Amino acid sequence: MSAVLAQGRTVLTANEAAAHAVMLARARAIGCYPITPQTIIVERLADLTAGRDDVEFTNLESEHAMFGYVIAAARVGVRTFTATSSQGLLYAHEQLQRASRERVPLVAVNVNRSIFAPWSIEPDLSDSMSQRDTGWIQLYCASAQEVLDSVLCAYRIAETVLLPVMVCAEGFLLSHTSELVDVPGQDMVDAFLPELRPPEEWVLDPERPRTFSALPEARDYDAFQRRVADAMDDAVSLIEDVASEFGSRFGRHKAGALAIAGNPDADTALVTIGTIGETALELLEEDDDLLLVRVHAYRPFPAAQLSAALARASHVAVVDRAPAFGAFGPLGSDVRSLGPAHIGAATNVVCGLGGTEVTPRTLRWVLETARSGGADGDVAPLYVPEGV
Amino acid sequence: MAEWLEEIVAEEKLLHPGHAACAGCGPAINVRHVLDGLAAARPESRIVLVVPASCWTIIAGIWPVNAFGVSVHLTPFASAAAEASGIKSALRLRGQGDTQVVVWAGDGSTCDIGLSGVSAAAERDEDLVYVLNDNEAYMNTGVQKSGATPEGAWTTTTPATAPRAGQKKDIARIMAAHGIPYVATLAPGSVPMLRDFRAKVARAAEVRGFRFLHVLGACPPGWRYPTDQTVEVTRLAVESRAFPLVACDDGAWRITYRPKRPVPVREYLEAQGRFGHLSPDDVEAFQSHVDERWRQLVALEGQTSCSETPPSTISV
Ligand SMILES: Cc1ncc(C[n+]2csc(CCOP(=O)(O)OP(=O)(O)O)c2C)c(N)n1
Ligand SMILES: [Mg+2]
Repeated sequence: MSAVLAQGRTVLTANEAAAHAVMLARARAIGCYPITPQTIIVERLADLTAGRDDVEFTNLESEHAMFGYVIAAARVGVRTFTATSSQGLLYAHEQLQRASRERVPLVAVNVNRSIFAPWSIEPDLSDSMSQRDTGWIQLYCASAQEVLDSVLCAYRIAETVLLPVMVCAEGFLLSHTSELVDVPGQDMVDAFLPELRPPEEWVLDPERPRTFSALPEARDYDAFQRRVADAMDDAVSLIEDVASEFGSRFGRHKAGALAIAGNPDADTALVTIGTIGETALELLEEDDDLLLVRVHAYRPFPAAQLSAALARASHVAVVDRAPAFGAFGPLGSDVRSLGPAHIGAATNVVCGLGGTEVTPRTLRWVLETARSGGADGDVAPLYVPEGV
Repeated sequence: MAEWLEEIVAEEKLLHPGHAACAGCGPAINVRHVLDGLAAARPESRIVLVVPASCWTIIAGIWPVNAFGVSVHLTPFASAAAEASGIKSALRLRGQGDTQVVVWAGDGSTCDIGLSGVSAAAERDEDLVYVLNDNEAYMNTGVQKSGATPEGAWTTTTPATAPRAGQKKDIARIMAAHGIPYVATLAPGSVPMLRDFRAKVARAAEVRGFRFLHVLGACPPGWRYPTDQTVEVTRLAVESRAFPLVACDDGAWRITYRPKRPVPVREYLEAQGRFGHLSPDDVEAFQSHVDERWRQLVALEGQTSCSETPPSTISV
């Protein structure tokens, strides 16, 4: 007998919230491979789908195989799910690139964990940030509720633009931390998320023989890639639309590309991603000259929304939770690529690697640095000094 | 001409003329007989072909042309078995579970980079026909050594001055050790060998679960012989026992084709430029490995087979 879903307001970790969302979304083909701190998601799904003949739950022998499995199942027109972390995501890199280029509407959860070497299972964003150019839409979460809601939105987004969506949640900080979560009813989710119906000509149907992803002429190859880029562009407004529809249907706010808090006219703006954005909220109690911008949709990069949000600040600080070797941090370099000049000169700080704590004190140091001229002219990000 | 042969000649072919294989491509002959054999055995069911990176990435056709009369799902080099499993899962969910999902994968894919995937799909007993298209090297990239390259063979990465050391991986026995329902080796070097080939394809269509067909595919540019010698080289591979035709059906091994007067391996080797540098001692060592492997197969047959008669309702 399969285990049962919690309903209504309950206490869940982000891993459990993800598993609940996947069941509510009626994913039919689920590929499984263990890696800490993600494993609980697929363990829960194994329990929840046990004995059901309308779900195929398959244990694969690697993440490369696992992503191949869900890509192929999706190709036949079935809604899929898989989850991984760290080394597993990196191991699947070839399939990640391929899924977006083949326009496969996958949803995957990546529980963020630092990457080898040396070994660590603690959180940072190196794993998924290193995959930011693979053509996946990436949504970074800051709470278990946001994980549940984002997985549901992810299916809508993926299946509308035919691109894969990765929902990212920091290991332990979210994956293993219990929080109050509202689990929506199945009827509401069904109304929000219709059955998967990819275009007929996209679906592999044994009745209609054709070859998928066959070798094209150069100009056709080029055209295919451009269509991936166009789909990514379409996703920018879609992410906002899906979030606002979600908000009105489910009666709670859902971030689109950005989660903005604090004083919109502030002189200093702090740009974060993931749970650091949640920590930063504490600063608002003591600092009313502060605008907080948490990036939820990192790909497609919300350039226009960010430029608008940061237009009035004269000091911009960007906090990355992934190292940068020989360049600014991933989020830092993206933000610095935006005009106008004060954003281009943003102070970029890298911190929180391998699970190092990022506290309000850390963020105060970031703000002080930015306000005192910061990194203007620097060619690399700042690392937080020891003890801060 | 025998009736079964006439039928085979007349049947609708699922590999269309105009495909992009080289002149004399052995695998082109083989894939036609695999697909047409599966279709003939189960005319009511459709076929989906899963093809990892290999020569067949190109032979399948330049987009939007499809050289096959079946749907083809192209995959990365290492993931054909997992993706075939995904397709089978999804077809089951969509009420099309009767479809024959067939992998057509090279020796590099099967014996090297994708071996863990093949092994895992076998261990899960996925309902697939996995066909190893063995041309004994990475041919698509221009003849590099794989785990299925025979001892001593020249390839561009095992040049004549430093030829391939070690033995060709015995993939059929590796797969049989998974306890899967059907494993067979196939090579169409003569009419009787083609009959054996088609009988094994028919048997594979009949069985459920993971079926593994190891098909020898002679390759003129890779093996260095003239393009009109593909069938003859294939025949010599079998007649010399360098490539024995066997089946392991539900755990029972059987040698399905016994050369009446085995040809010396030397004749098989001499027919191909890739062995041109071998010394008489090398050839002797090759022969002794072939003989030893044959003895092992005879012993396996003695230990596991209940009868000398084929176990199935095959009718070709
Ligand atoms: C991960 C990866 N490594 C290398 C390649 C390059 N590659 C493409 S086909 C091929 C050779 C395939 O050999 P085999 O499986 O024996 O098939 P064949 O070409 O001989 O038909 C190689 C090495 C690739 N596509 N992917
Ligand atoms: Mg090969």
